[in-house]
Amino acid sequence: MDKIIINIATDYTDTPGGRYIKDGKYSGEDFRETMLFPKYMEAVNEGVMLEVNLDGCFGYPSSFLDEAFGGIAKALKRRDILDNIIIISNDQPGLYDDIKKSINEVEFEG
Amino acid sequence: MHNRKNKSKLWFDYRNRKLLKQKTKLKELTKRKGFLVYAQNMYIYEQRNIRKSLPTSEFKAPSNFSFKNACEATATFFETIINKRDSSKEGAVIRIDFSDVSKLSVDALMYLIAVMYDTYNGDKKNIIFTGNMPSHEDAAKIFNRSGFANYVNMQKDEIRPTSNNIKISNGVTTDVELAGKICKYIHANSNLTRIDTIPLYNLIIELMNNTIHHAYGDGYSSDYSKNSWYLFSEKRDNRVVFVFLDTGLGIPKTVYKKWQEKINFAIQDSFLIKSALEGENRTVTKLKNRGKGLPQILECCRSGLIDNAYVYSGNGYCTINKENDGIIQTKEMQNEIFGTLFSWEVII
Repeated sequence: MDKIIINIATDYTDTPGGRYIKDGKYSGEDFRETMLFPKYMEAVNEGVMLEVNLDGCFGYPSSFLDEAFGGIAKALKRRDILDNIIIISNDQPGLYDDIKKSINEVEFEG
Repeated sequence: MHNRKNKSKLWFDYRNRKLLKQKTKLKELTKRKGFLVYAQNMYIYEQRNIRKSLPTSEFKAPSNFSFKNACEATATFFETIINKRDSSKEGAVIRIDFSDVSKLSVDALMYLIAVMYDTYNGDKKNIIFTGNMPSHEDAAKIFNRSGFANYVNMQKDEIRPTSNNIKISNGVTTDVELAGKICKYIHANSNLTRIDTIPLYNLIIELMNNTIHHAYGDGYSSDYSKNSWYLFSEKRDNRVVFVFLDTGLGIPKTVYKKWQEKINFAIQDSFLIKSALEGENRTVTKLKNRGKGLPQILECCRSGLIDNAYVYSGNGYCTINKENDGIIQTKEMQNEIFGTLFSWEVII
């Protein structure tokens, strides 16, 4: 297997929600904890890339992507997580930059 | 004052009907179970009599009952009602006289529904709203079509418009399914595609998020329901009109202010709203990766997807139109509204 693939619209939801689980369904926090982070670590451990396909959804509230990807950077205290991730976003090409900006703006604790 | 000679229709707080139904049910139960339900029956009886014993205050709705078209008069009207509600510690009957209303828009009706809904779901059970229908035919039609007339007469909490072109929803969490349904509805009734409506989807979710995270503040203490948002949508000819609101603290009170702004009492609410819409660092969390909710509204306007947008919060009133190239026009109102009201249209 040369890469692990997540297609958010078909594997998770086509209606991404807010930031936290307490905010409602399909939050960025829930996506990160149930799918993105486990798959990311699996990809890193196996030495392959994680491909995340963002196409096919009704939209991506900024707080969703921020919590999902920024949350991984915050947990691992690293900003280079995109080195192991391929982002596919033909519906909204600008999302890759938004995700990168979210990661760069994460404040590490401790 | 309700004019019995004109036989204008009265609408009652739906709880009155509910209490009546309960009393009837309990009457039947009493026959079967006897004394055990006597005390419950007496409670219901007392509730009905409480209404009779409560002081009644009457408020006349302005002839143009609309935030969009008669902002000051409508805001004044609501300010007096809410002040009366908040100052009535022992309860009150608030009677609204709509008989002289000739022009009406749903943003004002929605705000009234929100105020009533918050009251009923809060701790103050002895505040009762009553009122009459507008005498003017066009205004009465909007009353009925919007579901307002049904809402105040129905025995359920749900607001059910009589027109299939209208939807009213409320919630305390981010309702992704509702946002998805709205987009699908627009796809089905226009040439717009899923990709075209992405900004609209994001806007709705961000507004819900903002309400549940910020509108009601940290440590906000109120007798009324917290964190509720309300969304109205109606298809009219070639556009879908949206009204989104909450009855929280309002944007000017909840956005982050620089220290010099905190001590400068000349800072206007409209300036703070405009600043937040333009994405200046107004997030109360002061984190770098936040504060993207309100700018989404502006992005949506400037993308050309939405038009005739306005935001009214506190004393600040901001409008954004395609005609003005998406530039935010600001106005400081004499009266403040409680919470925040957003309205916009999608051309389909």
